[in-house]
Amino acid sequence: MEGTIEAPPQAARVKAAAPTEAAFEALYRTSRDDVFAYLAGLLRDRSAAEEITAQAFERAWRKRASFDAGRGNRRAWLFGIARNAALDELRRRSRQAEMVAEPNDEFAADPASAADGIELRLALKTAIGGLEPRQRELIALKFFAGLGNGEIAEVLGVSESNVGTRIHRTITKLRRSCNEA
Amino acid sequence: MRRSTNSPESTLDPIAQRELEAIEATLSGADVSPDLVDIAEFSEAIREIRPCLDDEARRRLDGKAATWATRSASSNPGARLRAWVDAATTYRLAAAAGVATTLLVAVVVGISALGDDETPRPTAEGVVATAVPTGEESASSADATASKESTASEKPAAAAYTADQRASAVFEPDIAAARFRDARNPSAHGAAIPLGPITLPNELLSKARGGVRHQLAPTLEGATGLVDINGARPVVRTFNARTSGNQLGAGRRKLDRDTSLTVSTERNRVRPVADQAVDVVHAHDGQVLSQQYSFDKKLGSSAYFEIEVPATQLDGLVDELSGLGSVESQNETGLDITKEFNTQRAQLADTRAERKVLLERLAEAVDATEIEHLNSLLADARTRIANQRQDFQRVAGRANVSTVSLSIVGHGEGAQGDKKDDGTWGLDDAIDVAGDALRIIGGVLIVAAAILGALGLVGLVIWFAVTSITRQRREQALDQADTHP
Repeated sequence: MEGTIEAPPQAARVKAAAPTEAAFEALYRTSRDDVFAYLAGLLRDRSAAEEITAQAFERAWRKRASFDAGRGNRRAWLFGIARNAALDELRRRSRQAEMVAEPNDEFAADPASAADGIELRLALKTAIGGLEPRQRELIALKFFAGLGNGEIAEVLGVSESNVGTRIHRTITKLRRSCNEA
Repeated sequence: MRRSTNSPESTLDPIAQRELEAIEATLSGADVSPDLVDIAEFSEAIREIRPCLDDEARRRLDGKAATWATRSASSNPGARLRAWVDAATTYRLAAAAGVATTLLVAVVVGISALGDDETPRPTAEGVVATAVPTGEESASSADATASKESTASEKPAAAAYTADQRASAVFEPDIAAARFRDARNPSAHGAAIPLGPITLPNELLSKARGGVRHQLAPTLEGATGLVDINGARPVVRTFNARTSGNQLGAGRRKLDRDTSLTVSTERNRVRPVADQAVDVVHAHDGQVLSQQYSFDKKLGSSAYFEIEVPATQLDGLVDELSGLGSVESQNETGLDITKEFNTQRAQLADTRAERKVLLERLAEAVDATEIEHLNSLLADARTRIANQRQDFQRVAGRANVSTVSLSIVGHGEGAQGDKKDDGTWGLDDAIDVAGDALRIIGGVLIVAAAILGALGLVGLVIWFAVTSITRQRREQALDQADTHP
């Protein structure tokens, strides 16, 4: 996932700093796109996802010293921070309630896709957009961000078996929606 | 945050489990069983619609990341502090707050402890003062009070206070003299209030240390027990009615007065001062009942006297003895024995009158049997007169003779008797100081720990509440996400 990622301009300085900062830079490089994908799937808004991705990494940067390897892996810790940032954004939206329509809905029907004949993808986007937020979040964590079930369990604060059950239930629902479409 | 390590196998049916395994295999690039190809393709399709960052968005994010690094590398102290606070965990903040609170509490308690150590503190339960009425109008009630309250048990109580408080109670002759004058002139304070024995609890003693001079005087002057607060160094002092029998009207008032006095002098002058004290006693027609002189290498020397002196000479004697050195403590008790005196005197007079009548009847008697009977009655009357005379003389003696307990101690041996007199500072002193310091530090730490524990508990509760509310609101925001697209 990191092949095309450009290093930050201050990367050299960050690398020369403490190991924690170097490790954080590595985490940034390997997780940036995954975090964005997760947040875009959750928020259904690319521009907001980009903004929240930046916020999430900044929060993580500030709290990088608080990471405890004994309490979980680094990616789960990062996605937990990203999730909180996203939920704060959702809270802010609910307070302001200013968005009547979502201009950049990630899962809105894409005529271009339809023109390409990729019916399954179109149906999938529509089906995902119709999922409940928690199910959509699960899809985003599993298929967009590429987290394992254990990592998802850490992020959501549930058991790993519960994650598996939820994923299967959500996939079943998605398949049914796509078949009906 | 990991809640469970249960595997999916424990809750999923075999078909679902196989499908999940197929999803995992697809996402990891592995082959799947032919009967699960459809779900593998479905999973692949989901992954292919994954939102991706375009190059422009990626550059923007990298630029923001560079900003964090630049901010981190800043040498600005404000920025460093902000970065530290940002990076601070709850534990680190709690530890910092705890250290700050501990230091604050330690300073406050330490200052308080040092302040308390400089204040002499009486160790007895309270001050016992026997109230003696000082006005004529209160004579009848005073008699009743004296007859009920002036028992032998009260004098030991006052004496016990004297012994316990001698080391800490400090007597100031000039202020005392003013008090004595007030006591001798009851009109200066209006009619005196007859009161029984008064116990001054430590709460009042604490109030008396509040820094207001004579704060408790209005309460205690009426009872002739005085508490003076002398500026920064509170002086707790107690003594009973400073009213001599002759000045209150020797014909009416009879007082049994005892005085104890502690005088300090230079270490090497205890013996000469003791000799001077004996001369002073003789000059006031008194006598030394007992005397004791002791010398201890560590505690120093001291002398102790039990003195009897005519009641009329008591004030002069005490004044002169006080002039022999520095008065460390003085305690006086006065017990009203007027009723007892009058009763004994009346009984003696009655019996004498009875004897006189018997003698008159005997002079006129002619019958032998009557003479014998009268002689028998006279013998009985004489016996009673002898006994009553002894009782009366004993009471009169108590009224006419006062006792004085005089202690003479070497300079600085009172409250600081364990310190060396030669001014040198040795190992024992160092151990004492170290012990005191450890005691204070221990006390400070205990108090600080108690306060810190309470604050920590409150902080923990608040932290849990805030965290729970925040988490709950976030989850609610997720549930309502579709209602606010």
